[in-house]
Amino acid sequence: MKLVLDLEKALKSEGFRLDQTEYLVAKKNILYVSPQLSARGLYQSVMPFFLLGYMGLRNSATAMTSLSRYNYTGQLVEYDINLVGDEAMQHISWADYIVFPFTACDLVPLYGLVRKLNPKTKIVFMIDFNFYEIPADNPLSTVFTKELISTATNNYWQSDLIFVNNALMVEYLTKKIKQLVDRRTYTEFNAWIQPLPFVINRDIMTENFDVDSIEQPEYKSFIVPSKKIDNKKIASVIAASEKEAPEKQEKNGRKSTAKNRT
Amino acid sequence: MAEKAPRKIARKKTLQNIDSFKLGIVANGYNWADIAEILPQLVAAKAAHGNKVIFYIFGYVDSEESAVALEGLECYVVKPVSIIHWLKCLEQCKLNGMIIPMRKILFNATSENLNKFLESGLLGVPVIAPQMPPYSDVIVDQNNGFLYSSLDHLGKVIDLVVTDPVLCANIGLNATAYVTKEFGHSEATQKFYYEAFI
Repeated sequence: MKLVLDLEKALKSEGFRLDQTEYLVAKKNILYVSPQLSARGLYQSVMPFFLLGYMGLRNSATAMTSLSRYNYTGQLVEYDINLVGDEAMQHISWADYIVFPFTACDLVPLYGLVRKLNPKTKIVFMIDFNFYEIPADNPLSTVFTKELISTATNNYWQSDLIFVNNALMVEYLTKKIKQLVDRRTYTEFNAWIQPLPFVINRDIMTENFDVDSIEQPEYKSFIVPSKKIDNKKIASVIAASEKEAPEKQEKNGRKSTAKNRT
Repeated sequence: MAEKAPRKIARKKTLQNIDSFKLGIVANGYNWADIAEILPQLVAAKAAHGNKVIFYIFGYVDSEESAVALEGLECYVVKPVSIIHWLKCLEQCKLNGMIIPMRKILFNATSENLNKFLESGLLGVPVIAPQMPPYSDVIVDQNNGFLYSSLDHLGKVIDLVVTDPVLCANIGLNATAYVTKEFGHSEATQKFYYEAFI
């Protein structure tokens, strides 16, 4: 993934970041905002970034604000949005689509800022998983409180285009939205919901820069060993009971002998 | 006489010493319960085939959940790696198949993506996936992957692939051709993606 790491490095340079959005050359200019270098980030943002921006076709162009390392809980609850200042204004003015990764941090104020700066831009929101149906045995169930569910709902409700993982989620979300509208929890809903297209590239994905740092498999047995019998402990228990027996019999008026000991 | 506890195996075994059918399972920190559900099938396969089948658990961390999910199993574990190294790590292990454990619950059916299918396919490793979306949308059973409809069926599929590695290898080749054609960088994929931005 050398190209991906090169991108991560390049995005640290203000010059590179600004060059991405200096010219309007395509019909669809797509800005990816602060994705993480994770499996989700790779397929949602990085691979499409290359596909739509660097294949030599002139109908689309892509830009990215930053590419940060994996911290999924941080992304969900403490999203570090790199969209500030003159640089952000240039990016927003350039973009026809602004893609936000999935988060339960409140994005609605940012949406308002974006729409004020560029009313024509469309806000795209990714949904990583069905946060309405997290099972109790999934660690995410402790992260997604009712409050976070509500914030995440606001985030997609106020967007223009939502990408989900599969067609079944499109169906689920459509029904959910209808329920929320019928219950008058929310007003009308105007966004599109699409299953996210997937794209891979062997050349990009298998070109590694540092082979030596790969984790090696380690053999492990999860077979629970049988309990070890402590003979010394058993002997001491027997000895203690033999000592106690004559004392008890003396108390009861009987002399203890080997014969009458039971 | 006191029973001897089984000898703890302290040394690491190297890949070069193994000549067995290697099945991988990805643990992502959120799916230990899914892995626990298929554990009986894994343990049974190990009992039936011995060293002819080896399981690799990717993304393993020491935890109560992982201990419960893997209790009774002997396997190789690989700690979580970054996405940067992930494919290389998969390639290094030279897997023959990848099992995707997934309980038939609404969360899974509506949250699952195709990452594992694509990554495995890219490397010629066929997946053994549950017969539910999204896998049932892209996999043709015994053509570009395997689908199981129940846990018993999963057990039979594992037996099949372990005893017929040539079949598995051919399906792996089909998987590579399929994912490259349908999801690889091409003008067609670019056009499809472009139009997704409505």
